[in-house]
Amino acid sequence: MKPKIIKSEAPRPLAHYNEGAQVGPWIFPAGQIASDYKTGVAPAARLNPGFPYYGSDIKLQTRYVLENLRKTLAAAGSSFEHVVKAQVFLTDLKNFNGFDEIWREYFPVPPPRTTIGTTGLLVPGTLVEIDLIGYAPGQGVSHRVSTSAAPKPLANYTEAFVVGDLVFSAGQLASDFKSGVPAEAKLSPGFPYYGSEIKKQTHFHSAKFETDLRGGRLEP
Amino acid sequence: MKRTFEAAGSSLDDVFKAQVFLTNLTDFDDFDEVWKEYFKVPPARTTIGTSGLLVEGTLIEIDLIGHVSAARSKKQVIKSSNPQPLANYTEAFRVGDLVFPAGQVASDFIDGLAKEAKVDPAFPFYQSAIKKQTRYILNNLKNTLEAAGSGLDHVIKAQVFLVDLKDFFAFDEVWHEFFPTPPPRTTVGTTGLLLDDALIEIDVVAAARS
Repeated sequence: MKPKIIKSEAPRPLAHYNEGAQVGPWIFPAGQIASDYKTGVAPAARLNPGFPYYGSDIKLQTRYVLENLRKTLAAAGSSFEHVVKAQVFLTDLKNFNGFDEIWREYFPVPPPRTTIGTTGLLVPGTLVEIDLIGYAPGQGVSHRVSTSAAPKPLANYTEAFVVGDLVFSAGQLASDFKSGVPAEAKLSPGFPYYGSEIKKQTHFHSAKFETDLRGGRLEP
Repeated sequence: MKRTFEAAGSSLDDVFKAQVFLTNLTDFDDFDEVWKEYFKVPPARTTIGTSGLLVEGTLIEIDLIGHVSAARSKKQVIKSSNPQPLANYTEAFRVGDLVFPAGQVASDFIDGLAKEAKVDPAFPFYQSAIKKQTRYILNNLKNTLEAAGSGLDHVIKAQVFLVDLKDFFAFDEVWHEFFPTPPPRTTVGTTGLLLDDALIEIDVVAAARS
């Protein structure tokens, strides 16, 4: 299957990559940042320097990136409704809440998402890079939401989508989304050198002792 | 995750691709010990350092892709003649028309950084470390993809993790040599990679040729 290159009206990257590729129904856009590749951060994604406290950089940038991604998806016959996976790279995690407010405007059923901090992005002043996977409807693939008894995320994303034969999960942290890192995934504060914190966190999602609702049995 | 995949009609046995983000790379060995308990045939994996995660105190974020247990095309293990990883992961999987390799760093998994990817210490200013590493990785990825019935010209997505974004320009020059029609790409900074002196990790998804 030869990949098809996707090209829209979104700003052309400066470096050696294409805006997106499609193979079968699958659409892989490049990660996008809020740059027009002419002036650094695109003017439309910048605060007015005369009014620095009016508006939010992260919100402007998130909106700019998502508007461009909308064009990329549309050029491949798709849309945000058919995005099945997102990865978000933030230069400062304090921007997460503002980012997430804009996100929910664009995604009524938000896709599984992984958000991590990055040490930097390629255009100075950019705060977020958004990386999506989607599909084009009408080509034999559709998706459905899948949820388990695992702790529900606080923010705007879905635990997993089943898309055709594939399963895309959100990135998972050792959190119950109530108390931060839950007691089961922590070392006892009285015995900080007994055990390994990373092992406890890695076990957390699969080994949490919880009665299986269907069978009433204890999961491993 | 086990529950997430089971609820989706899948299981950890059907996971073929993983990305792992660690706030502290010294946690890797302990993480990997637990990992092997959960995966009989470990997925292709990419592990990088992150500057932070969204919940205070969390050390790790795990991101997985799998197929449903009843999938028509189940994952097939791909092995090329490339150096095989030291840790618990598989070089690549083919799943139907798609190929998911593990993220690659410039290592032969014997000496650390591969000899061919090292700058000659006698001539430190006559070579570019990032270019040598990028070339080494892309040559290996070429082998991996060809072993899976794909190739660099069928890459449909790339993620590039750089320890220092100043290396980007020279990296991109080498990229251009390998990809006449370059795939969509995401490039971000990372706090570190699992190999001493590694400057770059490259993670791709490709389509099969037929």
